[in-house]
Amino acid sequence: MIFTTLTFLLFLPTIFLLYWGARRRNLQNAILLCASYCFYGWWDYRLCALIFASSLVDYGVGLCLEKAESARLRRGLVILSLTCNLGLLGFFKYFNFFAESFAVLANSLGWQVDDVTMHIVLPVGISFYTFQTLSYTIDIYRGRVTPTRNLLEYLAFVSFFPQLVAGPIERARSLLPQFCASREFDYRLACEGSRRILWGFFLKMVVADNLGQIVGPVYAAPADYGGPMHLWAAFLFSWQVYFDFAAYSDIAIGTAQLFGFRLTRNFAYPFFAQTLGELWRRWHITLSTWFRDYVFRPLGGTLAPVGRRSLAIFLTFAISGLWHGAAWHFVIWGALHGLLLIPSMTRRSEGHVRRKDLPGGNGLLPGPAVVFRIFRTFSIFWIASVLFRAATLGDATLIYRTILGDLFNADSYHALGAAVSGSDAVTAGFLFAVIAVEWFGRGADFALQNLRGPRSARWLVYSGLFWLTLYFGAEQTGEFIYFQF
Amino acid sequence: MNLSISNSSRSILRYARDVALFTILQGIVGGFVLYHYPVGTNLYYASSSSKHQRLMDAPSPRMIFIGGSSMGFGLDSPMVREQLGYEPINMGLHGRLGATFMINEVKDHVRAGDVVILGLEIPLLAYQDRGLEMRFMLEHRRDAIRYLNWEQTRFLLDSTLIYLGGITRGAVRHLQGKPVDVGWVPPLTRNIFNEYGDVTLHRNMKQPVITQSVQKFHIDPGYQKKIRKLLQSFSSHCHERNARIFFTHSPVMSTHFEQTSEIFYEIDGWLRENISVQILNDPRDLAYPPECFFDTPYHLWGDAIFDRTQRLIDRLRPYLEEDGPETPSLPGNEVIIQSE
Repeated sequence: MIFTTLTFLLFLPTIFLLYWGARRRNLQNAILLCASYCFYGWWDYRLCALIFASSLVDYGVGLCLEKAESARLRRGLVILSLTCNLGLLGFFKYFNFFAESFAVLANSLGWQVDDVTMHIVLPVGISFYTFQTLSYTIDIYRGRVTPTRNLLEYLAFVSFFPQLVAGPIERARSLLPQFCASREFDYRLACEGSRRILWGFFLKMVVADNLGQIVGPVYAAPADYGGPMHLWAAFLFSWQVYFDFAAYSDIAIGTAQLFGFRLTRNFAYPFFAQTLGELWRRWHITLSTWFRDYVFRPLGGTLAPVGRRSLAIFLTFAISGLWHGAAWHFVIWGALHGLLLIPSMTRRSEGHVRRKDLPGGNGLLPGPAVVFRIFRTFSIFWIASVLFRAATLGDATLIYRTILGDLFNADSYHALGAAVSGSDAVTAGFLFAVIAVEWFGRGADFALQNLRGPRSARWLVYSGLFWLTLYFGAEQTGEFIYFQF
Repeated sequence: MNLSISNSSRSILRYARDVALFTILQGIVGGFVLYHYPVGTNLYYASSSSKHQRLMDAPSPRMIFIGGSSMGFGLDSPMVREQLGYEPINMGLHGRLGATFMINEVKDHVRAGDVVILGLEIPLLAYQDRGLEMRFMLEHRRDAIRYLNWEQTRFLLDSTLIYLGGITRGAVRHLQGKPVDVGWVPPLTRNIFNEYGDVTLHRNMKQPVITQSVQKFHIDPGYQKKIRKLLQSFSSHCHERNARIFFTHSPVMSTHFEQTSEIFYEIDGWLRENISVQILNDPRDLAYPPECFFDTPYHLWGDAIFDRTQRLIDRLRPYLEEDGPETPSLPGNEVIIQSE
């Protein structure tokens, strides 16, 4: 089920009433579990078997880890969990990628290898829930989490529908205790959740989907467009992917709040970051911290010598790229970010702006130096985003060549001028307006969080936002971009 | 403890009251919007009612053409009527109505002696394409909802917000005194069809510039399984009712065909292997040069329409001559027969 549909808007109040109508915690968890499997099975009911099997493995491994005393057995259990989860991910997501890459490599070495790719449909959200179950097992192994004996609580934790298919990737130590505790309805939390859902709908349907309609055709036929148009499309795509994912996170967090749950913040205005390191601390926070804790630190972490630390940064980002998509252009995208991050992350003097700090400084408007640093940081993401969005590595290369080739070609700017002054103008207007709203609202978790004033005025804003979303919503709303990962 | 439960209940009631009030307020605005949304009886999809009426009323012997818009735009039914002696019914409207809808709509109305020509476009046999077209058609024919399958019904529900967006925009345009349907240039209305269901208006129009890029699609095996079941069941149904059924490929722009020919032939092979329906042509036979198309790479234009129809008639004739109707039985055929 997709958030931005009427189906979800009917589903949500139904579950809300059933959930709060049930007084007992176990019954509430059972309702959430059923709702989550319905939500997930709306794509394809067979997917439920996959998540159930994945959950059972880690539930069992968790219990065994608690009892196991020998270090060897404990290591074996973790390896079992890793094998099952990564095996599942490897088969559904990476089988064809590795098979194709192996065939290309073997054929280039002169060995004849037949194509062994299969038609495998990638189950929605598999990258997210396998990471969540993996972290559960690893955290038990490291002694940071006590395994739950209650299967219902565990299944509800893994499949919790607001964050099931695209995160935030929750750790067991933050989300699982919430399933184990009784819940009280919190009026303020629910109101904030509702506002957050409304804002998420607006960002997705009006901003991200409309940007997607401009970006899509350019990347579908890259040879038909000139360099400036490609730069424009990459610029818009950077914002599209941000608003698309931030919108998903807002709706997910808001929905969880309606049920009395608090999920981890996933975005903290990353495009107002002044360094690439800061950008990655503000972007997809739950994934970045997952990679930090389970990949970067085991590879050496910040305390390792410079050489090893650099390699750890590079590998972590390359793997993160591969997580985003089973193709070489994703790997290169990740590796490129890793390479660009190495200088700043190996310098002790790097001014560590935390994600709690106000991005872009405390001033009402940024000074010229801040503007320059924000633009420089965003530009790196912008230029690299071609690798992220292009269908193939060949397309990405073509786009970069076209951009460079048309840099001083005046004619190629005419198409861009026509596009910007024509049909793209309204969307671009919305984009810049929302960027401004985000800038002035960057002190809050989301723009509407601190909306003050009499109730009638606030409701006028909500109603306006609702009708703006319907009126300017894209005619073809798509699935959230991160569903494909 | 009791006090806590009571506070929680009060909070829920307070929240429910706020949500209900907000919903009612939006409902009032929504009612105003709906009131001003003109369901145009002259829009393209309204012709679905006329086509369905003809399907029920047309006298036997009949030739029923099933397909998407390429069938609607690319067939000349009077030629079929004159040369083969069947009463043509062109059901072709839009590909996104889906193969299931197209076939289910005709299924109950197949009669003994009918000839059914399946002209489903190749993408319709490869994957489930969806859009709001079904919504627009249902505005005029609510009863047609019974022809939808589960996936389409689910899509209808899922796409309601986008549809409501369309209604809002339509109502605002209507209040501004502007035309509601701005999607097509030139505007396609119900009046562009002839009595048999063929689109005729475009034949005398200047071609718009075709901007649609090549649609690279892949085959969804799960969907294909369903389509195989659907086609086999429909084919058996036709045979049980003593109706004959044929398959014809659809016209496509040659440049598009060249870039996707592998898929065309894969599906052609799949059809020949899996479906017990006579296939009348090869996919390449229907690949016409770009100048033969109107507004999309699937909508034939000008003389190509007559060429395509003639080729179809020529392919059909040997099968129909075995036990088809007497050709001169329809008025107006004599001249054609004599000239042949």
